[in-house]
Amino acid sequence: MKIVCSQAELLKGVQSVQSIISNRVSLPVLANILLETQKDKLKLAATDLEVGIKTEIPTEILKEGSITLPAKMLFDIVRELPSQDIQIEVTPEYKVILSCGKIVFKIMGLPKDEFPIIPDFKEENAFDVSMVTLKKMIQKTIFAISNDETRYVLTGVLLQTSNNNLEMVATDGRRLAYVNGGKLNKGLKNKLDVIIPSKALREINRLIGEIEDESKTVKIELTENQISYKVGATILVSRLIEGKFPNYKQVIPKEHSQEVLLDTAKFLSAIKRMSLIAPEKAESIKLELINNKAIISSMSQGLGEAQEELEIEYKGNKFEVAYNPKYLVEVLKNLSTQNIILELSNPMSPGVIKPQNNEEYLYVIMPMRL
Amino acid sequence: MSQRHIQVLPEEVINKISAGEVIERPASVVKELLENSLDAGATSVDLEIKNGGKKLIRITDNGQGIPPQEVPLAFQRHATSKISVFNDLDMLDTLGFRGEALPSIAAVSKTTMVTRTAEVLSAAKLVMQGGKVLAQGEEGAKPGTTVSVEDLFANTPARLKFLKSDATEFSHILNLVTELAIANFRVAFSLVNNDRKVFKLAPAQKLEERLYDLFGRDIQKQLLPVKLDQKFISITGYITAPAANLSGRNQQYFFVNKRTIHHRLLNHALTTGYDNLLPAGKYPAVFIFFSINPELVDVNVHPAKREVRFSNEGAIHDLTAKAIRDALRQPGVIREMKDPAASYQLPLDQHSIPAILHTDTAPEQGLLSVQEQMFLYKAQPQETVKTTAFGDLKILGQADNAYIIASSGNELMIIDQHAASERVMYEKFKREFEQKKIQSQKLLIPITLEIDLPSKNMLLAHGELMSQLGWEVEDFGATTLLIRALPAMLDKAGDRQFILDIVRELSRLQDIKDTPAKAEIHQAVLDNIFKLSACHAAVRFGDELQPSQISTIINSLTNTNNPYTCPHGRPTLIKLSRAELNKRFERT
Repeated sequence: MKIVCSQAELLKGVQSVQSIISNRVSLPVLANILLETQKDKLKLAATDLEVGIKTEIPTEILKEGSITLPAKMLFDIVRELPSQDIQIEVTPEYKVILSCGKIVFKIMGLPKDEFPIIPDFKEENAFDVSMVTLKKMIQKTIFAISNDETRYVLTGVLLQTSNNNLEMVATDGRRLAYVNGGKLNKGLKNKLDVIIPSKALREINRLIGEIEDESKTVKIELTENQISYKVGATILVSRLIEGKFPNYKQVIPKEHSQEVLLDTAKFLSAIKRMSLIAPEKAESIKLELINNKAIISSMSQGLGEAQEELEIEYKGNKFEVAYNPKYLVEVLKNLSTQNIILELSNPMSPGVIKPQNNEEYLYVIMPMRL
Repeated sequence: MSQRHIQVLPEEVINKISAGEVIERPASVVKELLENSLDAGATSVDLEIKNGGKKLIRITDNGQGIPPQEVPLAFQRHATSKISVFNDLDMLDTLGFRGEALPSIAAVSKTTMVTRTAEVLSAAKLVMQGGKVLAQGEEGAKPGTTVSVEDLFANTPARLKFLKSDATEFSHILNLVTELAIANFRVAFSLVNNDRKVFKLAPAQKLEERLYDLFGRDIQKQLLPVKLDQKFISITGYITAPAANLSGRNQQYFFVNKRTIHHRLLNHALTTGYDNLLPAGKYPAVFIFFSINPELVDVNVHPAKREVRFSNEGAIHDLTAKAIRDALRQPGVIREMKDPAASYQLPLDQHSIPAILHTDTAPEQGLLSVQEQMFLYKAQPQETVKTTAFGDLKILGQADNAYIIASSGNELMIIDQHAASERVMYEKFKREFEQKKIQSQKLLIPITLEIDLPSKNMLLAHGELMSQLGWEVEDFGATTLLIRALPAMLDKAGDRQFILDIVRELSRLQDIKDTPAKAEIHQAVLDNIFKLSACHAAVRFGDELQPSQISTIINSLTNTNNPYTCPHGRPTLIKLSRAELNKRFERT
């Protein structure tokens, strides 16, 4: 293989694929990035066997071929090279001569034989989702997934369609986040109902990057056990989590007896302040509703206690409930509305948090024993 | 002093004495009656228990029944249909044979037998109390035999006093029925305890179906078939793969000619067969059947027949070990075992070295003021322990997602992140338990856990204690347990092994009712549960930690009563002095 490409393009390409590589690889070749000529482009690919990612950059091809190179080293070298053209040449012994002006690196590569194949993206079965919407949906659910390998189906986010609306649900069995991303622009042949591993979602989030243009879209294609996304020239393929997601509709309370309106930012800072006194995990904070007041308090053995009052409109009976502050902080910091509505029925049953005037999102949280 | 005359004891006294040998507790009655039912060719046996068997044991079978004229004979000592001459003992293929069981049971309870053979039209009924006939007659019944044993040991108060709690006695019965249900998997069994259904096992075609019903889906996936055929012995059954190991021997079943037996020889053969595939203190589940020519095994060693004598012990041991080794050699078994050394290896290829040490980018946040503390110094096991004080502790980072590296003055500290966190969690758990406020997190989606029946029974029987420990568990039918709430410290809960470890601890509470050391045992069990929970709540060896997590762990550790060791006694940190480092770098 012998190619010439620009430093900027190569850096961009390596950057988009290298983050997927895990720190502990099971096969040496998995620590490498695959470089392969493809028509008039250079294809770059990386995988950790769970998620695969590939992209292509414009290249001048002098001789076709392929090689794999240690990702971290390639990235560090390309980053430090001046912005000029880079020539990459592979010898029959898999030695790579990377030259840029008067700079020459000679590094050892590995042949591509052992590098796993990342399937191609088939445009015909794909549907489009706005990047802004997808990013928002991921951001509002991903924090609620479980990291408990024994509840494997909960380690991913459920992606489904219902009446052609795209929905995401995540739960770790203690709280649950639901978001409705609105109608898809194209009807799907089959109802969507898949569980996506969190790594694939984090990666797609990273690939989308900061974006405000509502018209830009991600293409999504689903096969029996894989999901593929196409963002520009980059394709991300992930296996799906097998198994059945729990019937989440069952755990969303249908009724409630108390309802309070809280200022999102004030509520969030109060909880953060109160948990200063209880830094260890598994400490609870108490929420007390009484006479137009919400009293948030915490207590930790040997450290002390704290209390903060928020003014609210509340005329009901005195109500006390305890929560893990982490589960409140995580949802509140991801909600952008001025106010949230908290719906409660009793201290032992799930509470619901909704953004005010917004039917697209809800969060169910299970209390701790008082 | 009056003269005492030698006399032949009356029959009922003999029976009472002999009952002491055969009938120790309700489970012994169940064993004798169940064996009778199975020997009578029953294909379905229903068992009902009340108050741990003290109040009622009722067994109904669909076996061949006893002809009316032989019913009174059944209650005579050494009356049996199973052998007639001594030589028959060598060719036994029935479970019972001594002819002691029924008279012994009748001597210490009120026993009612209703039995009918297919040939006669009505069933014969006989009621015995304290060894004497109370009533005799006929009544309508299906073919088969029903024996009800009420008020066991009511006439021998001394023995009654030695019985344990209802729950303990029932767990003995449950264990026994489980053994027989495994050995006789083609027979349908049902068990009702205090009017509550414990299980109803459909007749199985294969052993594995029965194991599935008794121990749940999880065990079935782990089963490896055992098969060995020799001229005088064949060994069949299942063992579990090393990955599925349990913490106790309570799921190890050996059957010789369908009779449950316990033999140290077999335990040893098991250890030999598994060799070093099992971690210390872990045991596989084992269901092994020996089919041995009856001439080569003596079952008449003890009235309870739980011991046997093999004519060639060495051969049995070696063949068993071989059968286990062969089973473990099946493809896919050993591959799952991880090389314990592998997880400690540092990745040494050039591009990962910078990743080994995550340096805290904001060092001022890593600065912790820690009051002067004495720490263990233990660089090498053979070195003497010396203590020294340290002042400000500077956290340098985390190495290999396993150790926290810190410096204090001119010393380098290496903290085992799991051990340190475990110590913190242990003391927190203990403190909160003593204050009766273990933080408990309710679950939005309860966890269902497949678990064997004896373990499930144990957890439910200790519901109160489990609740104090932060758990809410419920029966979810068959072999399923429902977890509705768990200690908030635990991130993960569906870990079967963890639950089984708790079960093992709880099981130690069963037989301590009258032990003088009761309080100590209770405390030790709780302490072990705190340790187990702490181990599961702690950060893992291999978890990547955020700087804030590291400072929380260090801060909390310095506030514990004993920051120097983890609850199991391993050190939480080691310290390398400047002098020591210099020496190691040969800077003399």
